[in-house]
Amino acid sequence: MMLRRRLLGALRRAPTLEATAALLPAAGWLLLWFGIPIGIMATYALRPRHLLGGVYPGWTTDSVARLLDPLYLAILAQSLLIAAVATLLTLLFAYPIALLIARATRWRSLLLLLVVLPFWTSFLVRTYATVFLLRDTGPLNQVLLALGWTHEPVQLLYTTGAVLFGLVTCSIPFAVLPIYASLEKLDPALLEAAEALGATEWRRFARVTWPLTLPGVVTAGLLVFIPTLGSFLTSDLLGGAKVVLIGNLIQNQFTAGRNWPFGSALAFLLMAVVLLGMLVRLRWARDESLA
Amino acid sequence: MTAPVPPVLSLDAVSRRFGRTVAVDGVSLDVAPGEFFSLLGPSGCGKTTTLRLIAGFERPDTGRVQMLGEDVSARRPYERPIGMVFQNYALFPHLSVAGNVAFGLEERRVAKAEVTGRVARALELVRLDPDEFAHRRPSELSGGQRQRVALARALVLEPPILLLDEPLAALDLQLRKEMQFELKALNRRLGITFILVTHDQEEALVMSDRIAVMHAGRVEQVGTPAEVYEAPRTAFVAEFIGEANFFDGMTADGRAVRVAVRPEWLDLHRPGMSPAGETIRAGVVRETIFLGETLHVVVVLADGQAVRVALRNEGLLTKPLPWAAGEPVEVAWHPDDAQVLAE
Repeated sequence: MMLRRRLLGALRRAPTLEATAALLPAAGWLLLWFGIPIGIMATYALRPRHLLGGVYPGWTTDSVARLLDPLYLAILAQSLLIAAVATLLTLLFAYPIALLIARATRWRSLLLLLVVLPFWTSFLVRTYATVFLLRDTGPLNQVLLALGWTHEPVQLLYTTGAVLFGLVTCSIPFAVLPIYASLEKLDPALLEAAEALGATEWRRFARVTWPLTLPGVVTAGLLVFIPTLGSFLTSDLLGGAKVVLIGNLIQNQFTAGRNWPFGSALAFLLMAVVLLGMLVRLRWARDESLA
Repeated sequence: MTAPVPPVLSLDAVSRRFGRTVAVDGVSLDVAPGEFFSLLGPSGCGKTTTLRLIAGFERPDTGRVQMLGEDVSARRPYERPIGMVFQNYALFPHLSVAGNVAFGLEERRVAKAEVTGRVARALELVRLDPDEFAHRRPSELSGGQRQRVALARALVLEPPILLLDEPLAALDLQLRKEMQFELKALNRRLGITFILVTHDQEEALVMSDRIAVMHAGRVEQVGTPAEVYEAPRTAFVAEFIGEANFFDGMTADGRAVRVAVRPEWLDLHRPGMSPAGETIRAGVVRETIFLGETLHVVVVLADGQAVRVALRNEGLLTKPLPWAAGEPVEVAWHPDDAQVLAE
């Protein structure tokens, strides 16, 4: 009785029945392709490992306990560090680009097109192009040799630097767009007000533009940081076997490692880290809007 | 006779074009220290561009802007002796009220200890209690309070010239009337020159010492409110400020002229009853419009022109108007009340 009354109350409080019905397909889609797989992974993380891949029936916390192994924690720390550095570098390049686009009046559409142009080619193709660019016989090394700056090819590929280069170049478009959107929203009258109050160009940027576009920068940062933290292709192709990120580790557990329970556990660890970051961001956003 | 006071601001044949549009076309103005000066005109007349030229957000293509006797045409806004209140206030949303007001002081490197006191005094000047408002964000203020913060933010720097771009446009009528009075009082009390941009003729008449009426990038007339109202120089001024009837006539020396006559300077008489010496046009009453203080009688002349005659309402219920629709009448005015317009 009580439950029924409460349910009816909730239904009555809900926007409209139609609106709820309209959400059903999306909710069903999420449940089918996101909720259920996550549930399967959660159970896999807690089952004994089958040596040929897959799991045995029964329950164990072995895989979860293994997460605390300093070896894996070190890989997680290294991944966090690389993702953080890649994110900062990306933002460092993306902000001036976004600023340039926001200030360009005539060429704005063209510049925006140039930013999204890389999306027209496959990520994999772009990464292989980077391999081609950075390898010992690649154009970059040829230029260095021709200029006489070096007498033998410099090792560019299969370094942490190459991984960072790959991550940053692929991430820049994702960072430019949200920053551009926040710059676009900025009321030009605020900058004029600051100018009338004595602020020079640099001071106007520091005191008005930057604080007011910071939410866009944070969004851009998350948009870059999260996929970067879970990436494995870039580190695989540009880092060789030398740079192991948590994404590579997870991929490895499901393929060559044939340890699905541990792979699932690692995936959940990664997800927990990402969710924690999102929570901090949400909390911060709420404080901002309240302040 | 005292020596004329040098102007605090003067524009010397200033022009500014955007592409093929001439926004400001050879504007020259002199503004005296402490004056409340308005740039009045419809949207697109160039008044806002003129203000932006004075502020330094725009550079003149030709002509000079002078302030306190110095040519400032090439100077940045922050190198000019101005403060500015923007149309939608342009308060910094990420700063508190105190942060907004302190902004200019901080940019000018005023000592921290001094800033707090000056911010509080500026807020008091615009009648905002510092204890109550200093820590609020602009989003937590009403329109009128934002307006006051914008004023305090500009006034705290004690600029010799304060520029106001349609500062009251976003306020409701009651608040607007209150702020008109307050702005005028601030201008008197502080001795700061106020330059106001407005499209609201009543606002300009109420507050200004002098008004420049602008049209199509040019200044049509500069004068005191009484001058621009009672002696409009052009048809545009006559029509933009108040209401006007236009008549074609002849001067004593036989020149064809166009004159403007305000509705309240016209009289109505029964045919043949107009006093001698007045100019007369015959017509038929079309309708009477009740406006409270006044009544407008619309008379259609023989040539089809509709003329508005304003009569004082002396109590319609006790003294009904002797004019009914369809009645023949004479519209008459004293020649002194007709303003001869420039071509």
